[in-house]
Amino acid sequence: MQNQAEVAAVAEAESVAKIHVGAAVKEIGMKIVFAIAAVVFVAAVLVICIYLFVRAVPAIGQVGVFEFLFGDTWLLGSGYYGIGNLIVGTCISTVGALIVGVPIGLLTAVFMAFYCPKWLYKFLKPLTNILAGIPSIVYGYFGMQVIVPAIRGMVGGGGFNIITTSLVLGIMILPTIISITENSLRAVPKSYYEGALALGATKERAIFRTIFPAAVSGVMTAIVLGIGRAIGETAAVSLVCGNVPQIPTDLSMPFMTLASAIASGMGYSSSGFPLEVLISCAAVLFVFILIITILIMLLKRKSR
Amino acid sequence: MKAMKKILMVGASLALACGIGVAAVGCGAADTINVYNRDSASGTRAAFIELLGIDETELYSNGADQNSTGAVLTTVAGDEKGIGYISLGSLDDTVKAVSIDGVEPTVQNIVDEKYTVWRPFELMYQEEKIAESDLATDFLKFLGSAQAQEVIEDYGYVSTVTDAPTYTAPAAEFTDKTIDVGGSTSVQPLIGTDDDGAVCLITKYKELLGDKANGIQINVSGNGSGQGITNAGNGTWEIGLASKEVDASKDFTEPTGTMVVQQLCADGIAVIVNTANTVTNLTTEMLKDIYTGAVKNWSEVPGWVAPDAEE
Repeated sequence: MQNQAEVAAVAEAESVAKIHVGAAVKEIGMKIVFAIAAVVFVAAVLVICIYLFVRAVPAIGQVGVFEFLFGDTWLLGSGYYGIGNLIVGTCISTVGALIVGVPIGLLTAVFMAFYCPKWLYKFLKPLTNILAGIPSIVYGYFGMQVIVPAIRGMVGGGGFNIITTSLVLGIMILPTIISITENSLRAVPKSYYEGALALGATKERAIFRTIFPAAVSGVMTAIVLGIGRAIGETAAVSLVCGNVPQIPTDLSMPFMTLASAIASGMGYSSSGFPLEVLISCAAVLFVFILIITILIMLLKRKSR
Repeated sequence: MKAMKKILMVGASLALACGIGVAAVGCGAADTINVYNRDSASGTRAAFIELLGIDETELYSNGADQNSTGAVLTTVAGDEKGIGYISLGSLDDTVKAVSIDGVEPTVQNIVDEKYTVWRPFELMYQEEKIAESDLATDFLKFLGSAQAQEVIEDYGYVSTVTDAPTYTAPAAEFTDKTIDVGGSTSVQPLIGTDDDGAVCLITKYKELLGDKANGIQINVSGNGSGQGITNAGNGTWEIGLASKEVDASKDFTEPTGTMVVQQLCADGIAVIVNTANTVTNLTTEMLKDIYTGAVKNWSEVPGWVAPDAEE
């Protein structure tokens, strides 16, 4: 009798132990799987980064750092490799996109989070996602066929200029800004809002004076992601910016950005030294994004 | 009170923005010339500025740089104040071609050497690569034949091959069934693509081949003469197309074989304006001034009458 009980107890203890060991093995196994995924991700980013810089640095050295970064003539086929005008063009188009996209985006997010009736919200939210999913070349084509002639009629010039590009890019970064800002607005504890209302503030004042400041880091993230998208946008910008490597002297002149220069350059200079120069342009773009990301990290830390 | 203040603020900033906008744009002069160019890969552009004597660094562009002949056509057809340049063979009636120095851009005027703005269409290939492909060798033979010259002239280009031999299809089947051809967007419509309705060179070639044409595929792409030169030089394509003069010893960077340049035909460059534009003639001087930005308004161009709608 006792033997049977003992055997049963031992068997039970064994199976419990097996479960523990099995669980431990699974645990370690999954840890390894997650770690491998993370390593692959980091490796991918590092490989791109290193490849870019290994090929870019000698090319920039050969052209000359100042001549490359500040030179104002960009003619790949004829040996002029100054990207100064392209950097200015990229900055102008990004600033233009922010001027168009940020006010509309932020105010729309506030509307969707606080003023929107439920039935309308069910319609607006998927609309934002659809807008985010439209391929950029479609935006570019729409800009070329609809916005370019309209701007041409209003402002003069060919219609391929900063205004058109800012409009197109601004609309493209709207979904990013709207959804992230809305999420961060909703994440602020309702008590802030209710407290402000209780103290007698109007709804609009409560939102802009209590919730917005609390959601600032989310808003900054949204803007940075918007900047990131606008800086690197290639397909849409190539179709509406005019692709002339000059600094526009007024709002109706065409210009060129780093991304569109790389795209059009690859078409006819995909070998030899011009290719190295194009890779250097990509490296410069990469550095821009790095600078912005670091800036925002610093800003976030400061605001805490 | 606060609402009033806000409305005032918004109103003031709107007015300021409009003011800055108008100032920046310069009140949109009603007769600014919108100068369209091709992008820097274009053989048409290179030939055009060379023929006019404009240096590439002083070329003026306030419209946009288009990436193909078709794009220039579409843009100028849609812009009343536009001016551009395209291959004469691609000219259609959606735009108007202007005379240069009193000479109309026609094939006859080029043959008579009265209209001087023209350039050769070149075929570029590697000797070794062509020798390996019987289809490519035969296609090149066809392109120099009398039947090909007929198609070239029908299409509005200038035949430059004298005493062209008649082409006959080879007796044996081809061993190489696919070749890649590409480059200039001006030459592309003349060479044609496989399923074209118009009688272009490939269509005629297949017609002459009869049933030897089964299974043959000639892939034609167009990204500009620059790409034609690059890809002929590195052997990616069997034949590259260029719409400007190409020097076999100088224009190929690191070619992987012996490069040969063969002239297909010649083509005029037509300067086009919108059909609503009243200008019919430009002197070479005026054309050069427009394309270097020295002349910026249509009112300075003789023969221009402002459209009634804008007065």
